[in-house]
Amino acid sequence: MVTVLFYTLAAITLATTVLCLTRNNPVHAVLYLVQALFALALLYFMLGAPLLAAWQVILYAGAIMVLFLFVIMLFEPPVADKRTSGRLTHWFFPVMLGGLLLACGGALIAMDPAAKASLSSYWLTPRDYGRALFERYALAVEIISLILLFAAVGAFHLGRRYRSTTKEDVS
Amino acid sequence: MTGDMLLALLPLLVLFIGSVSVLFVPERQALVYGVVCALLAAVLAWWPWLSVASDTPLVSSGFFARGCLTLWALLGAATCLLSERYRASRQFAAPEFAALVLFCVFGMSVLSASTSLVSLFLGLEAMTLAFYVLIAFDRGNTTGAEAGLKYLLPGFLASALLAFGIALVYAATGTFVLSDTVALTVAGASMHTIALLGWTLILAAIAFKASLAPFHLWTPDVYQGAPAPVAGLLASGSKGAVFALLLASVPLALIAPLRPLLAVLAALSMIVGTFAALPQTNLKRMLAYSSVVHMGYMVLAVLTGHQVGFEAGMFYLVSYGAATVAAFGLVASLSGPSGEPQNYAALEGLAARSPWRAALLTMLLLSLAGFPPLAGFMGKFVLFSAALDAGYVWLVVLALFSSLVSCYYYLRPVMRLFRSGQTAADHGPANGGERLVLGLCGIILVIAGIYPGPILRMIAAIVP
Repeated sequence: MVTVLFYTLAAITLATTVLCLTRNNPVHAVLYLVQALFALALLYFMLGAPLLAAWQVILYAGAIMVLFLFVIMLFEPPVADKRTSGRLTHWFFPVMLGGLLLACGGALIAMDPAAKASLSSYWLTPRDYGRALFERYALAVEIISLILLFAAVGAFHLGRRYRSTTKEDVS
Repeated sequence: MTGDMLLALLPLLVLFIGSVSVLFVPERQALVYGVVCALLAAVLAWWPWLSVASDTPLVSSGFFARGCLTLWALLGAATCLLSERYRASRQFAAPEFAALVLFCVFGMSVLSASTSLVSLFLGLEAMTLAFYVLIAFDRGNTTGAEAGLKYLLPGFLASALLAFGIALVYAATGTFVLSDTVALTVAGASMHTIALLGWTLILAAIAFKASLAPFHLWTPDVYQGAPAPVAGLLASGSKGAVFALLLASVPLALIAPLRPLLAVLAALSMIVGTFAALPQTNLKRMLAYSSVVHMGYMVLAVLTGHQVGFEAGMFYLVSYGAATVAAFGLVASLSGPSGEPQNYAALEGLAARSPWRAALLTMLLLSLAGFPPLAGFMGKFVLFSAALDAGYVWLVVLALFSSLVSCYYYLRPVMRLFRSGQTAADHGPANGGERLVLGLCGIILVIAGIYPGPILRMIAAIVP
């Protein structure tokens, strides 16, 4: 049963990722990406990392994808194509993939309602996760935070509006 | 995190604190401040108390890591010194520039000191991220923005390949520790094929960063568009850091199925780089293709798989790095407000206008071509003889052939230097910082060629 669930979720992830890459409408692409991230979250849960699964949903599918949608809406509001929006084929793939995803999630809950009997051989508790992250890989966390800081510095420089008097200032 | 670990990280901490604090330094002093921070890190790396420092789980504090940090810090200081006059006529924000250069040095140091696949990835990302911005740093130059984009897109692809490769290697071996992953792959675990696939992807990502053919396509455009001091750091430091990693921590040649791949990368880089460099009339593009060829030679050092070859590789990196920094430094020093003298035509009559810089350009191009008694000759000599000992005769023959042909494209700009000048001088005399960096590079080129003993002994002492 677990094997079947794994391969179903893996297939959903791949299918939604391909669909995300091939869509012309950016909003559709983002929605497919949300589905891919949900499927990945369920995979993480099955691999024994519930905390990671929760973060995947909260951070990626929740926060970052909403940000994506906002940016797309701000820059280029996509015009809905009236001719195709009502058609059945238009809805078939998202509904089918979403339904499969829901079914997989439901199956996981049905198999293990209290999330006590682990599906995987190793169950990573939040405490284990935190210890690994902030003891063994503390330096890695610091380096990542530095990378983000300097990404901000770079974005600030590249996006800054320079006054036309820069040349006189410098020389 | 114990006190010993913090001590081991001290040079890296200096680089980090310097790169953040330089953002608050006024425009005029920022580059000098950057130079001081880089030099401080280079000195602290050899402070005696560090001998008691212990390795952290991710970064080694061994002699090799410290030696590499010193090299990259010196390169960073040279970049800041070379940018002082260059930025004056351009839209360069000095604090941000110095901060990114220091952070780039930080990334290169983490990369070459990494003992784990995690720090390998993070070091490479830190370095590359700094370069994404540094390449497009000149806001008034649209080719700079284009070059930045051309580095960004292959860079993302390489990062994705690297992450996927690391995931596969981890899946097959169950550890991130570099020496263990290599040893387990050589021993042939149950998931040997997956591990090999992972290493192949990692190799492809590394080939992207080191611009080995056929992953070199971004190189000429990026070198051409990037500000000259940044291009110097990119050509010497980023590639040096990648190869330092390959020489010290990831002995890929031990994994037998990867050897043919490495040999093909080396051969293709030599052939493609040589023939692509022949018709160039732009100095920076020619240097880009020549770097592809030189990185092909460096793969020979990786292929030897033993100590002598690794030492030869490090020596070659030093001689190549000195010549490259000097070359791009000269372009920076010769560029005025209207742009960089990239075309050979712009170099005409340079020997009469600024004889010292013309002499240095001649010398470094001869060194790159491998003329005795300069560093390039000695580097090629030790490198090729190490590769011969390791039994790669056909690759050495190919390398000798490509360095023979390379004389043509290295001597073409040299001949233009001594023609009577048609172009008016756009540049002033070199300032103090430029003189210091260019002079030091020239001295290294001569000393490493005539009397390489001390440098070779220093390298032998640090290579693990």
